[in-house]
Amino acid sequence: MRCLFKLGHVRRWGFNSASSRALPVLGSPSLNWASEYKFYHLHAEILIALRDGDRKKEYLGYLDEQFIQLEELQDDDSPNFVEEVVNSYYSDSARLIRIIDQALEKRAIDFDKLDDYMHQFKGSCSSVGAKRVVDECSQFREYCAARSAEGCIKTFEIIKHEHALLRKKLEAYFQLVNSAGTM
Amino acid sequence: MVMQTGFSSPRREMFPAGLRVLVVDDDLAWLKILEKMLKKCSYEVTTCTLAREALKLLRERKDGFDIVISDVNMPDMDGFKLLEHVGLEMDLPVIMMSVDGETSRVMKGVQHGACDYLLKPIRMKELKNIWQHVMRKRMHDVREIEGFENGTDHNNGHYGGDQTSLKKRKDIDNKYDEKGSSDPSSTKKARVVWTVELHQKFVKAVNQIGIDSDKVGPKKILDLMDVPWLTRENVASHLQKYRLYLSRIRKEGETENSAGGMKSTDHSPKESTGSFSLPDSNCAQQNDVSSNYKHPGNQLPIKPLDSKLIDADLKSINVLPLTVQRKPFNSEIDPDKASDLQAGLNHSLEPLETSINYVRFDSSVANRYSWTAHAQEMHLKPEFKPDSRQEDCFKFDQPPGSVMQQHVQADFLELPPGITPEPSVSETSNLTLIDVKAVSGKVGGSDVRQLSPIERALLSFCALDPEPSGSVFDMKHQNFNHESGAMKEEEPLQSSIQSFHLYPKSHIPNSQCPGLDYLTALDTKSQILFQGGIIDQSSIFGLESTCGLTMGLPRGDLTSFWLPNDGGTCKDLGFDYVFSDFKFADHISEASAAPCAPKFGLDYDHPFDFVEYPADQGLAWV
Repeated sequence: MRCLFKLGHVRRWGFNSASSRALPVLGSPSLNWASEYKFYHLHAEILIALRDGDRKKEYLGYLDEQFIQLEELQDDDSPNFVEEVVNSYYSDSARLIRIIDQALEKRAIDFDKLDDYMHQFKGSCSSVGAKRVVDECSQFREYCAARSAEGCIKTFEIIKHEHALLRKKLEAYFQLVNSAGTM
Repeated sequence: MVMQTGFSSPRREMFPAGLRVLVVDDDLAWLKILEKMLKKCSYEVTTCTLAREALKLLRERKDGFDIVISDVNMPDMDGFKLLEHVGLEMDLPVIMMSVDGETSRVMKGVQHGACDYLLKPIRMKELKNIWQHVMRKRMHDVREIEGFENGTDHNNGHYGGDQTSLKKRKDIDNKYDEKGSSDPSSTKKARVVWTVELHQKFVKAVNQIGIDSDKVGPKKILDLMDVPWLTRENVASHLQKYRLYLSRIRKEGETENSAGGMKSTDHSPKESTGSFSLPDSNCAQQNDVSSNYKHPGNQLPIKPLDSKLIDADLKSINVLPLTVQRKPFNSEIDPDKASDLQAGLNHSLEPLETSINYVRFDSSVANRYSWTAHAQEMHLKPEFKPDSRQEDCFKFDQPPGSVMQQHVQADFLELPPGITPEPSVSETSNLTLIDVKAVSGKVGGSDVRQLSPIERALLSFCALDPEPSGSVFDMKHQNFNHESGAMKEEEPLQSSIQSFHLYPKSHIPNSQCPGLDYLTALDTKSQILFQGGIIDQSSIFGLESTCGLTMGLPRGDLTSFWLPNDGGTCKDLGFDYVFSDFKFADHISEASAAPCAPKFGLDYDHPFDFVEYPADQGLAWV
């Protein structure tokens, strides 16, 4: 299993499946080894795992390639790019969650509208690469098409859960990134 | 024209860098991401979250963007609609985006003219390549020009063609000059200008073949149109747009409720006028005008008649909505005049501010208007069903009779006696108002009929001077015979045409408005037709405002159209009243108009009071 971390403003790591140790490609003398490791470990947890020799990518993480793209976009001109995007995402998605909740509470559910909201929500989640959430969104839309209120409600609970979970992870991640930068 | 098609290295480095992209997406996170990505590709990015905002930007900055990227789902307007607008009005390549990659959606995008459809999440590499769409379009347009140039010598009869050829050449030359160091691939495309006349030919050809038949194809249409400089590609792309337009009309015709009125200002005049390629700003503004029409009772900003206000607004009025949207033009419009028209248009027009500014209603006035139910349905959109009003440029295949029927027989608007419209005039206006006194008309020398309030109002422009300066033709009672869109120009005007002469104030020297030559038509829904070779926009506006004021019609109600000086066309256009400054004998080509001999010494028998406007200050007919 090989994970490639690309953290533009910090450093790059290669993680070789043969050896289960993280090998720094470029060392930074200023950072403490332990905290670095912790940092990258967390990062590994939330990023993709790519299977060796397999064209298919198995997404075990919470986020997908899109997140890496965001990190690649971050540069000196916009040093907090990723965090800004993630914050945008969370304010947009929180609003949509509220709307969808309200829509689901109605006795007569308007599935078309629901589908529309979910479409927006899905688009929003795709901006940060929230893989798990996006998958659940697709499931939700299927239930909408099938006009299954129960299915929708159940799926939405999962969505909310995943959404909140990812938020926690990302908050922790950014905390670490920001504190690492100041060390 | 020699077009450098090779990309020499120094120039290559510049293109596609600096490509001006407009991104439209309501999702802020994506907007941010796209902006960043595009900046990394060295493109110039402008972002907005609303489709309307985007359209506004596009219109404001003509040629300010090279490509538009838009999301499919947006709160204020469907992305596909925006796509259509942009395609028709600005002819820019548009890329659609969505998180939804369903075939049907993508198909819809393609059908609406998207040049690409990207799936979110979008990768940097996909954005890196978008310049190809710009390049492709430019090359396509250049090929059109080359085709044109290789074509035959310009026929003098095709002024429209000349106009466009000049325009094209100028465009290309300009682009070479402006961007001295830019490479040829950044040459702006010079588009075929689909003038009203040209489009009419196109529609005629299409109708001849039969729009729904299998045989309709660009080649056939081109042959029928007989326009030497036009290429098959031009026709093909125009046909495509036309089809799109038609299918949408048909759909909307089925579903739309006319009582709903203004519900979709978005799908509107924009594409129809845009397709004529009349100066875009004007078309766009025309659309804004019409889309801002509102029912007098409810939504108009109601302002008391206030001369200062009017004055200020008059000064700010600049534009003339241009498209004749009611009927196809008489195809015998003198091409000379057509080009004058264009020329006049091209140099005298500026964007119109919204018509809302020009509504002059006292709230009490508004109440007195008795709109028929039909009128109410129509709101203030002159006679058309909401869908048809805007799309009217393409409406040629509709039974012409329907246009006639759409004349709303609204009760004539009575101006409450208390209202004394006092338009003043900006210094730039060189219309001076004629002594306004109501007169009654004489027809054929024998009939004296009581005039309707509107007619009275119209006649209020008359003064007592012996020298007639123009006439008002009452077109309402004309019996136009239209079948399948063909105008029967030969049909003589009925003798019921009434006309009243308009006279200038004697002490206003005609030289004040030299060359001002126009024909205006005013129908019950206040569509004014201005016809003439030379147009002075401020005077037209002064005129419109005056008409509006005098008749108590909201300024926004007046739509101006104009035609070249060709008296023969006026009767075909379905206007109720034609203000003309042709004197009968001179200009009217149909001799049958003659029965209504101008009457001198009109009777002043009506107590209608209007303020007399001092010569130096009013608006006049010359």
